[in-house]
Amino acid sequence: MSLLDEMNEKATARGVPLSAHLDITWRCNERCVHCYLDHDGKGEMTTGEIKDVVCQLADVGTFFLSISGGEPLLRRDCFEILEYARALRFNVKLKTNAVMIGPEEAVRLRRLGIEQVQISVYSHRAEVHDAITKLPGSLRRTLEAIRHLRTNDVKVSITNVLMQFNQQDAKAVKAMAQELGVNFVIDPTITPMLNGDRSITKLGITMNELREVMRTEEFVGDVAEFCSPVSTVGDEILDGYSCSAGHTLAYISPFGDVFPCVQFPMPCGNLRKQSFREIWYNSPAFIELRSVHVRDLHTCSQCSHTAYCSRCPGLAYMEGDMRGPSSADCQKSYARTGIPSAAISRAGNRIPPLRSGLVQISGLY
Amino acid sequence: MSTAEMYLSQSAHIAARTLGDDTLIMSTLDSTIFVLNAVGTAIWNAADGKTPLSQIIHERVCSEFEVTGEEAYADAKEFVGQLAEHGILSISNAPVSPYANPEKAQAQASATKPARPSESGGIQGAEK
Ligand code: SF4
Ligand code: SF4
Repeated sequence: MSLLDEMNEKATARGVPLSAHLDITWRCNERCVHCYLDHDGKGEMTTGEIKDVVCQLADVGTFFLSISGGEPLLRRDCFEILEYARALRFNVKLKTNAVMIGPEEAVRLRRLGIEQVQISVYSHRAEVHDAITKLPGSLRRTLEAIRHLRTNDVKVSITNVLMQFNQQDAKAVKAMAQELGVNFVIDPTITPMLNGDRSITKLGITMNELREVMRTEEFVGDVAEFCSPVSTVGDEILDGYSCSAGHTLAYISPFGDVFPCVQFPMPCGNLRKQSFREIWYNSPAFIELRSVHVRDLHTCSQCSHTAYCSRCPGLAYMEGDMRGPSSADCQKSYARTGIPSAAISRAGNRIPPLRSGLVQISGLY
Repeated sequence: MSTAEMYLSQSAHIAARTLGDDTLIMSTLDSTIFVLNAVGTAIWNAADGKTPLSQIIHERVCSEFEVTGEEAYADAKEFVGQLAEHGILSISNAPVSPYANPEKAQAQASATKPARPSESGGIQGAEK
C-alpha cells in the first residue's frame, strides 16, 4: 500500500476531508459545448469569504486543494487566493483553460509551488479545439501557456475529453502531450448540467467508440488485463464505499454550497450559514451518504462487475437514486468486458443507447 | 554539526498537514511524500528556526514519549538529517528567521506510546 493510500485510509477512518475541490467562480472566457455549468457570477463568495473557507479547510485537515472554476483566473484575486492556500501549506492544483497564463503568471505559479496545473486540450487541431471552446485562438494560447509553464518546471496535466467531434484526435493529443513533457489523461465523461439538464450528454462518444478506446493500448495499458472480467467479490469490497465523495472529498461551489463531489450535486449545506466543520460532520446528507456501503446497493451488490466497476454515486444520484446503478458505468463495464451488468440484465439485456446516458472512465492513466 | 546546536526550519517548498498523530508532507519540488509519526510530528511542528533541537527533544519528545534524552537526540539527528537531504527541512548552527507560517495551530501530536522518529519517502504521483 502506498503512503498516500495509507493516509487516505486513515483519513477515511477519522472522517477527515483530505481533499477539497473549490470552484472560485463559474464565469468563464470559453464557452465549451459540453460544459455542465452555467456561467453566472452573481452571488460569488468574496475574497474574504473564500479565504475563510480555505482556512476552515486547513483546520479540518484538508491537504489536497483543487482550485477550479469556470475559469479561476478570471477572478482578480485568484493569485491572492492561491498564495493564501500555499501559505496554509495546502497541496494546490489549479484547473484552468490557461489562456490567461503568460510568462509572468507561469513564474508566479512556479514560485508558489503549485503542485500541478490541469488543462483541457480537446484536439491538436485549432479548428477542432477552438470549435469546442468557441474561443478563436484558444488552442494557440493554451499551448503557449503550457510552454511557459514547462519552461518554469511547473507540472502540467492535459485532460482530453472525448466527444464525437474530437475522439479521433486522442492519439495525436497524447503524442503532443509527450512532446510538451506533460501528463495526459483521457476522459470520456460528459457530465450532465448541474441543473439536471442532460442534453449535453448527447455529445459523448458511441458504444463502439468507447469499446475501441478501451481496447487501445496507448490509453489503457494491457488491454487483455484491462478488459478481463473479475468476478470475485469479497467482504472487503462489500464493506467498502463506492468512492471518496463525502468520505475524504468535498466540493464547494463559488456560492459556498457544499456537495460531496463536483459530480454529486446532493446539497449538504451552505458556508454562509454554517461552518464547514458543522456541515461536514453533522449534515444529514453527509451522514446518510456515509452510511451507504457497497453491500447496501440494491443492484450493484449483486453485479459481477462490482469488484472493478467505477460506479459513480454522483451519477446514480443524478439518475434519481444514489443507491442505484449508474447507467454510464453499466455501459462502461459492458463495453470493457462484453458482459451485461446486473442492471442491464434486469432490464432484459436492453443496453441503453450510449449517447442518451453518460460515459465515464477513470483509472485509464 | 555533531557538537554544535541544531536549529531546524521547515522549507517553503512543501505542503503539509497534521492528521492526529501523523503529518503528511509533500515536496512541491519533486512530489516526494513523507509521513511522519507522532515523534516526528512533534519535532516537525516545533521546527521554527529558533528553538534548538536539544530543547525540542527535551520539551516535546522526552516529556511526551517514554524515551531517554540521549537516545531521542541520536534518533532525531538522523531523522532531521534525512528530511534535510530531501530539502523539506533546513538545519543551521544558529537561529534563523522562520518561514512565515500562518497555518493555524494544528492539533499537536498526542503521545501514546514510545516511538522512534521515522520518515518514509517514496516517489509517488500526486494523483489520488
Ligand atoms: S465516483 Fe463520482 S462522486 Fe465519486 S469521486 Fe468520482 S466523480 Fe465524484
Ligand atoms: S456495472 Fe452497473 S450494476 Fe454493475 S456495479 Fe457497475 S454500476 Fe452497478
